[in-house]
Amino acid sequence: MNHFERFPSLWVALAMIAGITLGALSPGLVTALAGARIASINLVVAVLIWAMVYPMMVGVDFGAIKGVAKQPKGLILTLVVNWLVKPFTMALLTVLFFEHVFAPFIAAEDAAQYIAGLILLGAAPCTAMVFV
Amino acid sequence: MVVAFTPIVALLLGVTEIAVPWQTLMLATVLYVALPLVAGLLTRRSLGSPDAIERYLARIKPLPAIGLVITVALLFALQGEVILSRPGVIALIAVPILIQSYGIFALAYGAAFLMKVPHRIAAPCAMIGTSNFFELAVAVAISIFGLNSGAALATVVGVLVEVPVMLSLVAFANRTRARFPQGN
Repeated sequence: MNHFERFPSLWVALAMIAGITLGALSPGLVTALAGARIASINLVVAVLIWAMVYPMMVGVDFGAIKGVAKQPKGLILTLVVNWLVKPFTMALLTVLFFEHVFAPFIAAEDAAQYIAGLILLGAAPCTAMVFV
Repeated sequence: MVVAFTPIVALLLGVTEIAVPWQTLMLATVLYVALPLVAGLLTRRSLGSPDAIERYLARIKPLPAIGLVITVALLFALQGEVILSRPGVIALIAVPILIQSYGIFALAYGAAFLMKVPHRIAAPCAMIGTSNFFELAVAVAISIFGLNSGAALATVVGVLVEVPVMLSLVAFANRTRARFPQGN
């Protein structure tokens, strides 16, 4: 996995190409995978997300967090940026671009979807913030 | 986090008049944040020694990369048509993310500089402020809007943009180290 760490963007780009190819060659398989859900939770996605999140959580050293608390300025700064600034600037920027600047290029219902996705992205704080 | 994420998302999405199933949002947060956190904590406890934890971490290290690559492949398999017909959409989505990332970093790093925070605190704090928990965003977008939704696509563009942005910011932070107080 050394190769992944060195070129993560490249791997993501390759995954995109592979995905598009797969979707074009075998749309049935992809639709079946996407349809396997229980109570609005997609099973395949749940497994994949856990694969991403769980190792991160195992890596969390709760002892080290106490060390961070000894630096109150840094902690307060991070908290304010993460919870009071970032979600709102992202929402503002997104609405500005997708409802106004990009309005001539994108259909309104698509724009609403992109806005929702970007708001989710802006509101999801860095992993290190999960504990606060 | 579990406490703050859900209301902020609900509030902001509410303003944009996008219908959000509140329960799905809660469920996704619990399932993809709270449960893995508890599982991780229990794993650490059952492993005991730091050595055992190190070995276990080394063994599960490839998982996040594999998960990310498969998730992205799956998303693009479903979104292929949209992307092939309108590849420019990806670039458009990237624009606000880029402005946001550099803007937030400038704000956090600048504030740390003015507050005379030592560099070894200021740099990681600004990075943490800039970086997003994109796995959560992707997971929630998929849970609420579906794998083939534009919302899910937008969160994946976030993943694509994040890596080069963070690398450029690390380089910038290293170059400006000398301008910060160096103490503890």
